[in-house]
Amino acid sequence: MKYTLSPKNDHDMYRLDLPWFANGTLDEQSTLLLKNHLADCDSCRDELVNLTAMQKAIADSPIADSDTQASFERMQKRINNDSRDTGVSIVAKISGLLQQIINGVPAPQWALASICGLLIGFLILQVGGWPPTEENADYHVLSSGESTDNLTIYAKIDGTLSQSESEKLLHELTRSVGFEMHWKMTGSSEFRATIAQNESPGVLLPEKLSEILNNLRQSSLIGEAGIAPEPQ
Amino acid sequence: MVVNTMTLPDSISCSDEQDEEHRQLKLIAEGDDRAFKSLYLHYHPRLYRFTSRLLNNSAMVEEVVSDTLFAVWKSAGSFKGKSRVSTWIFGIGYRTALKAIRSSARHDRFTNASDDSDTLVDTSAGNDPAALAETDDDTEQLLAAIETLSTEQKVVVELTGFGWSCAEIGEIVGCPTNTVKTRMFNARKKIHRQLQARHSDYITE
Repeated sequence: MKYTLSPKNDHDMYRLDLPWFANGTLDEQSTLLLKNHLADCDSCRDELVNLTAMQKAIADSPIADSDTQASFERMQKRINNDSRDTGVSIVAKISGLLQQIINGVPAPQWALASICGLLIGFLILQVGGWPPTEENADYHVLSSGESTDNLTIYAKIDGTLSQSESEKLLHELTRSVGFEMHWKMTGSSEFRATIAQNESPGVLLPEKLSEILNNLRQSSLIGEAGIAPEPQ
Repeated sequence: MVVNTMTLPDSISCSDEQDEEHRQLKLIAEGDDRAFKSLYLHYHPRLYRFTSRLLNNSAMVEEVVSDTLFAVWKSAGSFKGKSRVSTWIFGIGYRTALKAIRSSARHDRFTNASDDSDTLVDTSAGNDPAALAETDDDTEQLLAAIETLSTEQKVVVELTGFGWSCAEIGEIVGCPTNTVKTRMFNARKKIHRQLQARHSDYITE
């Protein structure tokens, strides 16, 4: 049996593919070509016999038994330990960092930094509207914008929804952006709702209005939605 | 306990199975324990068999398989779907086994340098020509000859024996298919020489 290092002819090329012909994973076209070659090549037929024996020896070789179920239970413990360690490690890192900061900053500066931090935090909360007051507790009410007193929104329903289903859908869509609106049928497929004074006293933020309209327009069941020209 | 487990080739899997494994991996990335258990029970015996053939130390095999499947759990989210799930997992297994072999070799060198004791020298048939010569059974000789190969050659021979295609082996070991073929060719040449030498010895005797 002669071995050559690089394929110089068809025989060498086929020989390189023989191991995968033997294990049955060679593609269809190469298999066909190799079968034709094997019919005329004693050397490759001998090699195929040897390769088949080798692959059978590997596949049949005995290995020590392993308890997969017990191994999985050990893995579960490892995963649990790892997630606990990760949590402990994060806490330890934060603690270490704080300790370094505390150790690195002299006491007067540390106290001053703490007071500044508290003041900045308080200012941020104030600007952000916290704690809630009567003016900013409800996002329906703002200092500028469009009056809700005579604001009526309309929506035209597509499809085959019944009146109650349509009203329910519109109610849910406006509710999902924070408005309790009571929709009433005003035409064959048109529904209107007014933002009641008692529910939304004052004025409506324009972007909030856009949010309501966008939410309605995005629904595949609503053909059209907008602000009604006249209050109903 | 020693068992003989003739299994179906690892690479035999239909497209549906690949899709299912990909879906499982996505669930694992989200922390799904049940998906991980299913994948674990499927791959543990195969990885165990594969690494057992690469390493001669059962404790090391268990550790490598455990490290491999733990890496699958931790990095399931990084699987991009560019290869099969099976070759991705076996690729992790192969690299973990390589790392263990190198670390063990370093340890052995250190131990042998500091201690002249022969007890830590690997005396498996593959590394001991005398043991190879004393093996009479054809299959045993063949397996012993495989043990003499380099890890890179051995993994190609073993994976082919387990039924992987040339392209799949390339994905696992991270090299082009032509390199896989060359490694197999050189491995066959070495095995052939080993067996011929044994045969010559037998005739001389």
